[in-house]
Amino acid sequence: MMRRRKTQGHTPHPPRSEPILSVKDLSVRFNTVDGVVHAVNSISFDLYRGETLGVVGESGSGKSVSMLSLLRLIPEPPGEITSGSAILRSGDESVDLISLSWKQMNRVRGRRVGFVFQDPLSSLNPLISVGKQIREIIERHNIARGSAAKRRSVDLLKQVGISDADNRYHSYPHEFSGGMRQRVMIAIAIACNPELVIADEPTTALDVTIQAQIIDLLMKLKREMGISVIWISHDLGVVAGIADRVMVMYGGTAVETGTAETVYRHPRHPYTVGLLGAIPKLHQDNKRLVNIKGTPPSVYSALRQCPFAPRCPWSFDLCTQQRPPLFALDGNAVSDSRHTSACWYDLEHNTRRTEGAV
Amino acid sequence: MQRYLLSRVIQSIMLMFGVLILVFFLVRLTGDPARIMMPRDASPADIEAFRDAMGFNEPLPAQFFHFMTGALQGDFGRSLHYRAPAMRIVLERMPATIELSLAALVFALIVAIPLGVIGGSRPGTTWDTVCRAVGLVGQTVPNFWLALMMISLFSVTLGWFPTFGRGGFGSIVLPAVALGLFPLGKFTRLVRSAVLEVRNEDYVRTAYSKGLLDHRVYTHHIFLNVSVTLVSIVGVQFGYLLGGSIYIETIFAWPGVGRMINEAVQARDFPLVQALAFVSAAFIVLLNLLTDLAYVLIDPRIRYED
Repeated sequence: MMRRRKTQGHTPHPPRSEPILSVKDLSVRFNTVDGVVHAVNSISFDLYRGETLGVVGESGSGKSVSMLSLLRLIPEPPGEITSGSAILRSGDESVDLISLSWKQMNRVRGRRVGFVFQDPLSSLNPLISVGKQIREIIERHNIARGSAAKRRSVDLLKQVGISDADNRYHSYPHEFSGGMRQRVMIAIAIACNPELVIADEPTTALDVTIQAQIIDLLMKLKREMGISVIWISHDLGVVAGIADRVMVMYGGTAVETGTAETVYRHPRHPYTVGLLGAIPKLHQDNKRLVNIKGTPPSVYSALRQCPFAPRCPWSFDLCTQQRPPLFALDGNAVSDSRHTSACWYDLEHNTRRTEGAV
Repeated sequence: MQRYLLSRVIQSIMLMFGVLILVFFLVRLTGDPARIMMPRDASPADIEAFRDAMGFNEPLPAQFFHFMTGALQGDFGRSLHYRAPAMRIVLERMPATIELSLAALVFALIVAIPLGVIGGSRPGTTWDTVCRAVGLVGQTVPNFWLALMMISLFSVTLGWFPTFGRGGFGSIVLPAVALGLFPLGKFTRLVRSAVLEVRNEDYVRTAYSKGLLDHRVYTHHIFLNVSVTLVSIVGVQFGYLLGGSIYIETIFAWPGVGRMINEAVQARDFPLVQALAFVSAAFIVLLNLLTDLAYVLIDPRIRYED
């Protein structure tokens, strides 16, 4: 089911200056006893102010790892960021997240970048009241102290739609429903007025009616507070409804990026085509869902070819010889609406590519 | 909460009744108590007189009734060896054992908690190796051997501490260290593995995502959750220690109940053995009760599980 809620989330495109987050050539690997897992292989993307970037892909495609590693929230070791930069811009000030010291990073986390995680039950400390868990981040970043911090925590609970916030401040996570717990997570994420919120499958653990409420809440706060959002999901429907731009990930690489409109209507990477083809459509009487043949690639070997080549109906010899670079599909204009695809085959013109990479 | 508390107190009282019944029958199960208690060369007439005096000639239900009514008033009969009320003697000895147990426990915790946290938070490092070694050594080195070695080094050669006896701070150091060695090893291993487990929890990642500093994440998020596991083991371990350590109290001539158990069994002083068994059991039950209460205080999820 594809829900396209064009009315919300999409901000009118103002003239964009520089992206607030520029990630270049980010690679992450895990050094495990079974060998090296190449989880993220040289991904690059930009995020513009007030924008929602939907990051889609299946489990193990590296979407969560890549975003969490930006703030060093992956376990290190075994995790290791092997290359890349991630410039976070705010006014004239810009920092490279990857080269920050642990201490400097702790001032960015929570303060400038908020997080909403997948499972709100396990993501909240079961032994600490929800109010204290909100208050903690406020006091950490010196937004307020003492009773003022408590007042602000109660206000945040109200802001995320929790009734009777004064009493609910003292409740523990197990006394809340799944949706309410995720609201608490959102309150924590926005507590310090961050520039960016990374939402890692925030609705996956919730039932469908609650999903919609949580999406609406996050998008409303985003608009009100001017926050940019990276929304990680494997639910193409959810992302279609809220994202301004979409990045499709496969095998630890970004295979296609573009505005939500373009990627959904004119997918130009065989994986995206396969993914969209596998969605059941209400208005078509399909006997059987189309699936992508084969299984995702092994992540235990370094990427030297197109990760999708073994499953791709269009693949040819070059695909297994060389990893495809990102090709700009709408000319070489560098803009936030740029549509790119990492594929040696030009689906639009049905020709094989050899050059023209970004 | 109050219902939970009440039900746990009632359970504990019933358990103590069970202990009393066991204590009564165990002595009778071993055969003719009079013959066991009297010296081997006692004349039959003496044994018969003793049997009469102790009430062993009465029918078993009547004996049981006397024992229970006495025990409920704290009367476990007179110690054959000390010729005084058995319970009074046990209670006189208890403070020394409580003092030693507490000292051993505090020593074990003071070393084990930081060591376990350091080891668990840096797996595979030298600190972790030290932590694991301490855990292993603590649980495997016999405490009586360590006690003798420490006396030989610190008391005899260096003269830092008295060799035996109770009095002043210096006298408790060696017995507390010797007695605390086993719980130290146990706690270190427990804290280390609990930290290893808890640090991978999602809520710890959340704590870091808030920008909290390491020490705050450890003290407020990780250790709080580790303490749930720790509290249960500390309670049980303290209960064991309060039963008295036969070896350590004997080696250091520490005037506690542990040494008395040894003496009472050797002297076949059954009233005293019964009183000792009852008091030890009572302390273990009490500590289990306190442990459950501590759980409720730490973990809000337990409150409603009546």
